[in-house]
Parts: sequence; structure tokens; C-alpha cells
Amino acid sequence: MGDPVVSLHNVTKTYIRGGTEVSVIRDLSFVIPAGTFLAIMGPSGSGKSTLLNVMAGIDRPTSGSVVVAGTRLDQLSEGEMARWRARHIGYVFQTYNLIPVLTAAENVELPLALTHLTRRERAEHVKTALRLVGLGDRMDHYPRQLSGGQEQRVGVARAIVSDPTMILADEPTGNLDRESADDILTLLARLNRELGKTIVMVTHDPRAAERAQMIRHLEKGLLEMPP
Amino acid sequence: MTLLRLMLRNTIRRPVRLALTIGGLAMVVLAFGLLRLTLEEWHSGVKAAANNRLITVHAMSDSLQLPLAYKERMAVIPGIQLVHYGNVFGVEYRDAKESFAAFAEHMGTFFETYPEVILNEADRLAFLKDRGGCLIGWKLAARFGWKVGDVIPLKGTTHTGNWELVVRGIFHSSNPAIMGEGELYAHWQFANERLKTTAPDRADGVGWYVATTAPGVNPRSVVAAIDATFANSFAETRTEREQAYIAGWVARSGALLDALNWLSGVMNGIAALVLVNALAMAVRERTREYGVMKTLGFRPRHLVALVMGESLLVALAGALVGLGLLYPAAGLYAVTVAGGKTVGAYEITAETIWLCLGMMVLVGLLAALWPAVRLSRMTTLEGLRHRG
Repeated sequence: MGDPVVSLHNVTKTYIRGGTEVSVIRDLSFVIPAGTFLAIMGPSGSGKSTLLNVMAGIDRPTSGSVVVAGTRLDQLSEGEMARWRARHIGYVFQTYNLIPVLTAAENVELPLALTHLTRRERAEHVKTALRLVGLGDRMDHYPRQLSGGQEQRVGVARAIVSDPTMILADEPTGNLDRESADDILTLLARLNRELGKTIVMVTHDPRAAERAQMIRHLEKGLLEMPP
Repeated sequence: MTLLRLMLRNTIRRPVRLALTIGGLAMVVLAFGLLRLTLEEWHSGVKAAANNRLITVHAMSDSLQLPLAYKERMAVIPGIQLVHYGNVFGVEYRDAKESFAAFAEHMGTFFETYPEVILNEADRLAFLKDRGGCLIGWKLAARFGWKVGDVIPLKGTTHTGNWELVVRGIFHSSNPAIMGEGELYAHWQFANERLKTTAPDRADGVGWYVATTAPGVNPRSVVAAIDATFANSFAETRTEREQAYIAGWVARSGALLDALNWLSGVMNGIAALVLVNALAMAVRERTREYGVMKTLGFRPRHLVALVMGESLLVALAGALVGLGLLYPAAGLYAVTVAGGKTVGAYEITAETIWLCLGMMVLVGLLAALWPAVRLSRMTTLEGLRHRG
């Protein structure tokens, strides 16, 4: 395990719902060392996705400090946050969220549009990422021409193509059958093991969580160690 | 390149909606284009007017008549080479819907005064010989299917009674803005003789004089000389160069011109609304995708560029289709709608094309404004949570 990639200190997140203040995350402090494959488990509404979004710079904490990849996120503007995210975060969504009018290769290439890579370099990166997820032969397929498992693999390729510091996966197997889910989990484990990627995965599936090196439970906004 | 591709694919994502939007914009461009052509047509007479022709009318109103005797007095004014005169010949064909511009002109000076008339020599001589004959422009001939030798039965309006004129020639015009090809010309003497019996008080009256100045003469001095000649008479005159006279007519239709200009603005608004509606729908449908793009690191300016680009692309497509339709429509309009009236040939100028394109660029930018503002204000989380 390396130096901390994520460091949360007294992080609280509250929302106002119907005039009432609801605490989603309460005074949370923890670190995630580099190269970790962490699974955060918990029931629906426990604040798992909010925690992931706070780490991705998609959501802001109500109080506390969030340091990810050496940057204090709670002090960045929206624009700075977007630039930081493009460089450090690869995000895998539960519902894949591919752009339907772009092919698999074009979807994977999308984050590279923000880099200064040449066309040829971008094509090389895309090819490498898609081969890595086993879709080297599906580059020109549109999302509607792929199965759910294949779509999610394109989602993973999109998350890794710009070689980010950390991969955040929000219920990456939630919409998949068991076999496809296993494929995705194997892929994430491989990325962690072979490429040393830090991965934080949110899931409520114990079988998925077992594939991670470390499991944390989030219950009512508080992080607990598993029994 | 990926963003450009995404913009293009987003644009053609809903082909039916795209086709309807482009169709709607094209109709607006077509209407706008025809409106501009009408305005240009009105002004074309001013540009096309001859420098050496002076128009003299009654000082109080164009509709009042001048005495025929003024012809001799004008002819001796220094600098005048030729004096021509004419009247409106108020007739219609079968009913008011089949009316057209008709004039009774003094044929002894008509062809010399208006060298714009293109007519073969045989027809010209036949017309000059037959006082009950008439000349018609080719557009008028096409409108009613008339040909040389036909006897045209006409109903008088200002020239009361029934009239039968023989078509002696069908002319073209080298300058349709001045000499319209949808008009009829009859002999002033013939019309005047009938007036002597049907409306004697209006006989020997002249609606306007056209004085042609001699080469090298400054028309301004002649203008002043003509009006001075008839100053303090019972029928004072107002003389203007042909250009100024036509410009005056256009200016007197100022309210209508203003209305047409306002209409142009309204059309811009309609086009913008058509596009705003389509664009807002598209952006709302893709809100989640924009949220995903923000998650990947795209900034508001990238998303604004995508929406602006799409809006401009659709607007320009609408402009091109509209302009494509404007060419045949202008031809059709000139023949069927304006053919028998005083309006000449409709020509699409570079100015009209640039105005249409400019209007659509403006519409494209305006239409993208609201969706772009919404997108730039939207947080990543709002985008991701959007349920389309």
C-alpha cells in the first residue's frame, strides 16, 4: 500500500428535504492508500453514492476537508474541479451512461478530447483501453449493438483511457447478470493488481464486495468496519 | 474532432424533428426572402429611373388632371427635347380580381420617351395605325392567354363603359422596374374621345407629363423652369426627376414599408421560437449525457459550444433550404402573383442572400442562448440525476 490517495477529515454532508435537514454523511474521516481496491457497502440511502461523488468532486461536502490525489477539493471552483477530475478520476456508472450516438471507440475517446494528444495518439490509447477490456473487436459498434456487460466494459475502458489516478465505480455491476458482473469485477481486480490502479467501488452486493481488497460499511452516514 | 462528431451526430439524432425544424425555418426564410424581394422591387424603380426624364403632375395631387394645353408651353422651355403625356386608363378584365395596370399614352411620343419598350417593327407600326389597338406586356399576355389580334373586352372603372381593344403587339421591357411587363398601353386620343361623351368634364385632361431633357442639359434647371412657367396658374405643377418621383411614391407608402420591416422582425422571432423549442427539447433529453460529460471533465464552455454549434448548423440548414426554395418561388411569384400587376421581375440579389443567412445566424445564436445558459448553470450532479 502506498501513500494516501484519498484523505477525508470530518466530512459531513447534509441536504434539506421538505424543510428538514437530512444528514447523509456524518463526521466521516478516513484515508485510502494508493493502490487499494476498496468496496464501500451499505443499504440504499446509506450515503454510499454521495460519498463517492464527494471523492469524485461531483458533490461538495457541507463541512470537512476532502483531499484527493494531493488536491483539496472543497476549495476548488466548478471549472477547476472539472479540470482536476479529467486528470485524476475515471468514473464507472451503474447505468453505463454511454453516449448513444457515438461508437464504442468514440465513447472511449471522449475524455481524451480534453487532452493535447494527437489524433494518432488518441487512437492508440483507445485501442489499448478497449483491448484491455476485451472489446478490441467491437470498436465500431454503437452502444445499442452491445450487450449490457459489453457496454459496461466500454464504460470501464472510458474510465481508464486517460490513465487517471483513481477509478470510482458506482454500483458497476448493479445492472448486469451474474456472468457479466463477474467479468467486470475480474476486470477491475486486474486493473488494480496489474496496473496498480486505486479503485473505490460502491456496491450493496456482498459477492461483488468480496472481490475487493478492503470492505467498509456505511450505515446511516457512518463508516463501520465489517463484523 | 470527437466533439465536432458528437455535435453533428446530436444534430441528426432525431431525423423527423430535425426535418420539421429545418422545414419550419426554411418557410420563414422563404417568407422573409419574398418580403425582401418585394421591398427591393419597390426600390428598384428608383435605381432604374432614367436621368433625363422629368415627371410633371398637378401640384396639389397626383390624381388631379393638368390641361392638355400645357404640352405646347412645356415644349418651348429651353432644355426640353420632347414632351410626352398620359393618363391612368381605369379598366379591368372580367372582374376586379382580374385588374391590372393600364395606361392611356400619347403614342406620337411614347416610343421615343420610353426606349425600354422592346417590340418588333411590324407590331409597332400596326399599333400606331390602330387607335383602338393596345400593347400588352408579355406577362399580361401570359396571364390571360392573350395573343396578337385578339379583341379584349374590358370593363371601365375610371373610364366608364365597355371597351374593346385589339392586341396589336406584345412587348418586352429592357427595364421592367420602370416599364412593367404586366401592363397595358392604349392610345390616349382613343380614350379621350370616349371621355368626351361619357365624362366630358374629364376630357382633354392629362394625368402626367414626361419631359425628356436634351443631352448636356442639367435636369434640375429644367425642373425649376417648368414649375415656374405654371406658377400662379389655376393648375400649378410639381415637377421631379423620374428617380425622385418614384422615390416619393415609395416614401408615401412609408407606413406599409414600416409594417413590412416589422414583419421581418416578427419572422425572425418566429424562426427563433421554432429553433428554441426544438433545441430546448433536445437539450432536455440529453441533460444526463451532459452530466456524464461534466463528470468526465468537460467544462460548461464545451457544452455551450456543442449546443451553439448544433443551433447554428440547424439554422444554416434552414437558411440554405429556404434560399433553395426562394429561387423557384421568386420566379413563380413574379409570373403568377405579380405577373399582371405593376411589379417587375423578381431577382434575388446578393444582399437578400446575405440578409437571409445573417438572419439565420442571429436566430441560431439567440435560440441557443437559453439552453446554453441552463447548461452552464447546471451542476454535474443535477445532470446525472436528471430523468428525461
